[in-house]
Amino acid sequence: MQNNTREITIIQAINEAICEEMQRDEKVILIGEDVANAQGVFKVTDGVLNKFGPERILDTPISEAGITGVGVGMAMTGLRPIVEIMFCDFLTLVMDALVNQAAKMHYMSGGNYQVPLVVRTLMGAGKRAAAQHSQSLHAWVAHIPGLKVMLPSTPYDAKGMLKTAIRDNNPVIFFEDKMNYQIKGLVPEPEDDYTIPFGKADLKREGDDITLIATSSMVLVALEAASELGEEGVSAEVIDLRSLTPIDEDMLVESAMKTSRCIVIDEGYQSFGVTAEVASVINEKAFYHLDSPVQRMGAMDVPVPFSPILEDQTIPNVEGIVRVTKQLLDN
Amino acid sequence: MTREYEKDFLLKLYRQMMTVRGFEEQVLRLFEKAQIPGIVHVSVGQEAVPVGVCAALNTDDHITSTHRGHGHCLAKGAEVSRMFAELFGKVDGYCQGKGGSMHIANQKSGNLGANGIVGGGISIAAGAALSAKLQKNNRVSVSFFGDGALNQGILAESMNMASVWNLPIIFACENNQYGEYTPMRLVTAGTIKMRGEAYSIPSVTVDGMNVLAVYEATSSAVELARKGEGPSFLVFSTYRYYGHGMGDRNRSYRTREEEREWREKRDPIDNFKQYLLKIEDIAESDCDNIQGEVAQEIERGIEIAKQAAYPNPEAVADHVYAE
Amino acid sequence: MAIEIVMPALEMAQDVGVLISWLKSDGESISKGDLLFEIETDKAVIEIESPGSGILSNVSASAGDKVPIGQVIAYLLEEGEDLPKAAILSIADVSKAQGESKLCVLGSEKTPSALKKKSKLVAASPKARRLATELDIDLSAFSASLADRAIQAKDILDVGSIKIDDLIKGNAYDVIEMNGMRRAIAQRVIQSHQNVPPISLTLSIDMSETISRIDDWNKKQAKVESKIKLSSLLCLGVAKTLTQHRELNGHIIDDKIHRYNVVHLGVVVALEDGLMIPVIRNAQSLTMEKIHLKLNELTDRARKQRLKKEEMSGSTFTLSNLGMHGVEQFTSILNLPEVGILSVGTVKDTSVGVEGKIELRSIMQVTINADHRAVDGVAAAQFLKTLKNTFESPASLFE
Repeated sequence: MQNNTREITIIQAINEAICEEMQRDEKVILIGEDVANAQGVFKVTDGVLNKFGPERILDTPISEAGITGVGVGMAMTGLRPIVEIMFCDFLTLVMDALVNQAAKMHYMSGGNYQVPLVVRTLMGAGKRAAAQHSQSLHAWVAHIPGLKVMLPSTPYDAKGMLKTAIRDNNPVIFFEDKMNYQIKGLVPEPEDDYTIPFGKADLKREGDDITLIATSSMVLVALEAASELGEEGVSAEVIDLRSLTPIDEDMLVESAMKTSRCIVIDEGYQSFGVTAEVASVINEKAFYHLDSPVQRMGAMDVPVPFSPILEDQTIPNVEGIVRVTKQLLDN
Repeated sequence: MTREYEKDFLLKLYRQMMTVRGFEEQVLRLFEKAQIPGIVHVSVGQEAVPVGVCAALNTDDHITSTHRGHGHCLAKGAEVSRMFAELFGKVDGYCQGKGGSMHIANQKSGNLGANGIVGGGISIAAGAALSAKLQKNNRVSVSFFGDGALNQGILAESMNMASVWNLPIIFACENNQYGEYTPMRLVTAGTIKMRGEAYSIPSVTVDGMNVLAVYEATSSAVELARKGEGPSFLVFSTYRYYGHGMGDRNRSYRTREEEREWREKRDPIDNFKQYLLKIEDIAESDCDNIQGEVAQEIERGIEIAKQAAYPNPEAVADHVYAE
Repeated sequence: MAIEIVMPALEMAQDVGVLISWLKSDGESISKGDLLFEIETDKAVIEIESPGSGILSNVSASAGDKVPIGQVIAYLLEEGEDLPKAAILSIADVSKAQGESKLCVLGSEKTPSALKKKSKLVAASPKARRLATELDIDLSAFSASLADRAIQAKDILDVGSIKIDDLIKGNAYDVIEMNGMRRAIAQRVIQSHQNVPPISLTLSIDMSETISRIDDWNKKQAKVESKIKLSSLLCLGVAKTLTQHRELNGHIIDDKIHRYNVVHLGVVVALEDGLMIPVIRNAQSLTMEKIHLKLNELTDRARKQRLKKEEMSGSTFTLSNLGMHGVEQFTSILNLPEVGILSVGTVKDTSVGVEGKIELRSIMQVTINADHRAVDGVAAAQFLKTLKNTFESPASLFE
């Protein structure tokens, strides 16, 4: 990575990735609800219509299943579509197109067809958007062979990872986090093209006493917890998983061997999710290096409540991480 | 129907229908003998639709197919031996044995694939049409689906997008009167045509047992699409002689009289042959020759497929992801 | 052309079909579409139609038979036709094609085979178990001392660092947990040993005069607790000497030398299983009696492990005395961050030369260990010299 010189938000980073890739490859087409004329409900596609015109970015009807299926068809016939699904809660509507069609076309056709499709969607609670607009369902799609899943936590990561997703010849579901959009970070100059590959987690903070493995906005929560723990003499290592397919087993195992204790923090519901998968990987590969079982910290197993005082309880937080860390260290 | 056709063209239609029927009858036999694993759905009786539609398409036009997709695959351009191989699960099959009957596809002839999900191919065909429009390559897409798919939400979404974006797509409904074990009439409200009309899509009902009628309706729709005038909805009335799948032997949801009526009076191949002989003045020997050649081709195809190898067991993990 | 009649495969994996009944008889003339026989599946009885026309011949299955699917059970022959050699195709070929899926194999570490023997319910973490196996340490020896928690890796490592030949396989040995004090000692001595470049100087001191004076003093004391001991006088003597040799009365902290004006004297007190270093604060300003009282009090409480935190820290110099055990001379590890520590040996009747004659004197060897970063040899030597003078002419101590 060359010098990171400009400070931009994650929204801007995603916008840059989209524009640079659309510039680089005329086959990249963006479709979604309110993406073109309104420039996106969160202004992620700000300026794209102006830059590239109505044949490169299309506003769709409210037909999540349809537009994702259309994305599959486009991808199978020479284009590289990016489909925006406004909230990942709506993955419920697109599961056939993603799971039964996109994920399996390459395999079922014995390698004849490719589906270079990117689905960009939004996860994360904390905005009081209530139960049907606050979920993080990335575990659902990570479960399916043939799909790839990415979830960045910084502008630098977001830009490099989205470029990789767009250039990849497989269906990739790219999860942005509504709590993270305004987070700022340094990125290189636009001329400095860079990509971040699948399967490479990022060591965001080095430490010796405990490993905190986190995804998306939980990375920032983990870093804050690590900072607090540091003041109390506990050295926490923070790993940002970045992509789920595949999980960066090497980094996780190396860290677990060093610290002997791990906590996995992810915003999916705690049960049957990413935290369990990561815990299993560590258990399998580093069992004899652990001093305690790997702990899962996910969102509470309740539908996301509306009232702020209720919602805030359901999301893993700094205080929770610090508490669990101390429990593990005392044990 | 007073158009004049080239003799070769007519004989090609006949040959193709004979091939589809011969193939499907053999699939039936082979499945009964437990030589084809899994699930198959044969389309005996419906031959005129895939043959007539595909005759109006170019090789690089795209189709999506259904679970009952052998006819579409053959008519769009496929070798009998490689299709049998796929159904046997052999590595020489069109999908290297990984798709089977319900997912058979052929990239070289524009077949985006059969589909195990009812309606699963409809939005994909719309995507292919949008792709053609954006890439300005003048291609059209045909989405084959049955009367069962009429009531899938994805059809409504796809028709809406096709109409709003003026996509070069033909929605081709093969109404064989029954969705699995249920008569279409019992579960379908309104008329079929109005589903297209609701989205301002030109919609027409066609006799699906008449290959030339099918061909002509499709040709008109293709012309519209290539001119940039958008989608069409063609409803082909047809009939499958056998059950829904290989377990449906009793066909208790319909009468034998009804079946006989379609088989004896409306058989697409018999009627077309009569038409060729009487109206188009084609020699019976031409038809007989074709019959003989087709039978041989199918027999040879089965042999080749039986000799072909199964996939290497290690191949199980290949093609999950593209490079 | 003979037409095979088979027991048909229907759908979804049955291996056999049950023939319920024939609806036509052997020898009967059949038309295509006629109902030929009934079979039973999981769900229902199904009637099978004839695939063609001909005379039903060579019926080889009867009502009630379980027939493998795909097997020929009859033929339709034309008038006068002979039965062909039938090839019965089994379904075995098809099902063999489904090879074993290897995708579910997950790599896991090789299990140390010893760990597979279940130890008797000793609670220990996976890491601890592995280390115990590798170091050949018996986990059950721990369990008594760790009643309330599982054995952890660090517990094993602390034992394991003992030389392996000390652990004799099969023989009993005691495992002693390092308690807080032991750990603290261990930590400090390692730190000192690793970081400090020490110098060591030894001098013999004639303690005869001092001892004589102590005896005199004690004879005059009525109370037992007023009777002073040599150890107290040593503290006083060292403290006073340090005020004249402040180079040895200091700390190195962050590469800076702190030289103290007061002497907080740390005195090593041996305990049953370790040691403590209580601190006599402002030792240079105390009288002999006061130092004696203080030393007694601190020693007593040290032995009972009832020292206050502030009594255990802040020493500027440390004194260690093994004289009571007969040790003649020894060196000590510096009590960081101090720059000096004095090791005092036993008082021994030794023949020495005094003004040309050999006399038996009470000789005591002292050894100063100093941190060469702050203290050079000469400074240390001079300190010793003054100390010697102090005890060989001890009048000032008794004031």
